[in-house]
Amino acid sequence: MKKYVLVFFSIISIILINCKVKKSKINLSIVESNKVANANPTIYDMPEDSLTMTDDKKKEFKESCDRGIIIYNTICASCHNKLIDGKQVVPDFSLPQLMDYEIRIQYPSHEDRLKENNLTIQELDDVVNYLRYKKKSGVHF
Amino acid sequence: MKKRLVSLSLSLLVFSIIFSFTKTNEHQTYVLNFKNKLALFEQNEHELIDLINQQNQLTNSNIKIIKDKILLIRKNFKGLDFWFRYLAPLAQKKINGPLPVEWETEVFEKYEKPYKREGAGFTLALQYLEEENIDKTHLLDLLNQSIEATQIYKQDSITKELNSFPTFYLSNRLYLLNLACIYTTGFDCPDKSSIIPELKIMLADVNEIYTSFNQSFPNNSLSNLYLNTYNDCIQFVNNQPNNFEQFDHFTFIRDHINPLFKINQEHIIKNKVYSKSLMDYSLNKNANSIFSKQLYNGQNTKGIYLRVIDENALTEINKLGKLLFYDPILSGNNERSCASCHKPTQFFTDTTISTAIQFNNQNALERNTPTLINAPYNHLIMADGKHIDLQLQTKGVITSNLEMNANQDSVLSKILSCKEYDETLQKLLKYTPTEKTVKFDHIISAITYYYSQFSNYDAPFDAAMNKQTDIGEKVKNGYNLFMGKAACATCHFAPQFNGVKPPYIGSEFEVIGVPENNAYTSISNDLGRYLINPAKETKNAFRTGTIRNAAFTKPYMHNGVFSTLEQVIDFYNTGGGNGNGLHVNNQTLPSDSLLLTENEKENLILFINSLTEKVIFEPAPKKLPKSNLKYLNKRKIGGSY
Repeated sequence: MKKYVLVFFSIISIILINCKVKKSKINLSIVESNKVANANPTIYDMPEDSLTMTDDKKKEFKESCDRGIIIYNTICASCHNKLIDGKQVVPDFSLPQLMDYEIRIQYPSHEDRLKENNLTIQELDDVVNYLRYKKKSGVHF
Repeated sequence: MKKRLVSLSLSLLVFSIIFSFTKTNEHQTYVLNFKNKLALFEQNEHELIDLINQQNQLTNSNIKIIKDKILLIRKNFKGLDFWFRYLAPLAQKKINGPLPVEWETEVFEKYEKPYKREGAGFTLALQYLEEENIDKTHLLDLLNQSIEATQIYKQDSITKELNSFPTFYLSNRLYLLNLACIYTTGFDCPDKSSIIPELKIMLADVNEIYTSFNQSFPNNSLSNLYLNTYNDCIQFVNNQPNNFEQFDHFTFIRDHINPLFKINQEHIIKNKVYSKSLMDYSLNKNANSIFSKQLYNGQNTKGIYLRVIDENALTEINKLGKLLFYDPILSGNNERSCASCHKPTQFFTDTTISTAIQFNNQNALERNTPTLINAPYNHLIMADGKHIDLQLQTKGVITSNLEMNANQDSVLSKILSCKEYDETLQKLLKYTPTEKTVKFDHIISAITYYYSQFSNYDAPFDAAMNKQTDIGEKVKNGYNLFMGKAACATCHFAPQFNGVKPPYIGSEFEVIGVPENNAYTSISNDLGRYLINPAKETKNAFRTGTIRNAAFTKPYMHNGVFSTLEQVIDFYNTGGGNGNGLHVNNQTLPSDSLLLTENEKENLILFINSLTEKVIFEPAPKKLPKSNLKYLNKRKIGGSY
């Protein structure tokens, strides 16, 4: 019987630990997200082909990621960020989760939020670049 | 205690196994219906191949037998098309593919480059059988590709989709849209005598699909209202003559298909259906009519300001866009504005000349100024589909040395030299947080937002289709001709009556052989789509424009060669370029006469007139913002030429 009590308490503790990692309730306005982004300059991992990239290309890539974080904060963070120990953490997404335009249609919650009239092709690329090459937070989505 | 737990676990296991089997069988009737139809179809496909292989020579009599067999298979295919088009559209096109020119644009335009692909299937095989010296190998190739494509529908992924009720409602939506746009027009059925008989078979087959669906999905079933409306529709069509030219398209769509579409949309909302398919990418689930501007999402009209919803900010952007639209500051010499060619008093086109004057104020441009009204409902912009969005098009005109001959940096600095512009643009900057300074994109986005508001109006024909008003018999006849005998609807699809057909994710191109002049001395030397994507099928191909407001947007065709709707109808009535003695090898328009009578032409024009939207136009601004550069303050509102 003791064993079952132990199993029961283990399950409860796992649930409690998970509850700590919960969705953020923030919903930044366009203007606020700009402030957040400016206050948190981000360093990115460079893409696999960065050795052959020209300086202009590297600059372009960084600018794309910089735009990506602002757009992410504007329209993605409210659902995707995790609140861990009182801090906002941008989770790490896997490559299949970052499949270009398929992101728009693979998840019901994206149906309105990620339609083309709310996120352009270029902006989607920027967000994907940012999420793909940002420094890993160790928190999986 | 242990024993109890073990026996409890075992019973749970047995129960869950039994339950999982019940769940698998739950949708059996519906899935079986699909599998049975597919098996019969496949069997007939193989019989057709055997039949062709048995012939040593393709004589007229055995060609007739082959044609009859293909027509029989097409009948098997009609019910399956309900699923085929939605679940695997590319495979569907291999089975009953369109004309080769359409394969060129077989792309998801927002993301993929056009690529060349050979067509296949029954439509092409039937057309091939009309030719002389038929090569058996080529015929077999067209049909074998269909058989190969059929295998795709046997995959587990398809069965998985069939087991999901949302897929049913989304397939049904596409089916209803196609009933309104292509199934009754001969779009995929070159044999006109088969169009209505095939439609009758299709309606009955889909009724079987509905019955099996309701048996398999009792919690998400189609309502009695839907089923009763559908049965009325079947009855209506069964009472219609089999002669395609006498079919009452107007009543069929207004009284049956459009109400069915509305109920299906309600089912989509009620059942919380969402889509994971590109087939639904543009469709708006809140539209309750096919004849609605909300049916599909067109272009992003706000450009860089796309997420702005603050009404005050939108009013500011609109005011800014209006001033810019009339301001020649956008041109290299500060003398030409958007309004120079897109005259707001003339439905945002220029009805007075065939093609507008070039920047040099001497030569004429090659192409007619298109109306900007309803431009947001194109997926590709320009007659050759050069641009994928409105902002690129605006940028293209401002920087073209033949049109406004300006460069982006200089336009931007000139605009920022005007205090009024500068203050507004700086104020709006907070709405585009990815941009730290004002850019050219802010300017063109305000322009596209401004002119796109004039595309929000409906026409009397829309009101008639939505049963808000009646419309004269002549207009109804005109619409029936448009959909039937005059064959306009095989290229101009509802609701925009342009080349964007369900599921509204791409624009179609056609080669109709537009002449260089009214005397038909030669075909227009503009290569059209070929300039963007060179392939022999795209030579002289142009994007199909809208019929809406055509009564007020003369002249017509890419080069403005025709100045009246009568001339346009005569051109089609006489078989386009080929029918008028021009040699257009890749013409997609039939070259024989449509045999339209004068009365029929008149009705057709009355239908086109009923598509004139009740647009409320605005007067030009009274003054333009002052610049701190004196030479700029001489510019005229709307430009000088």
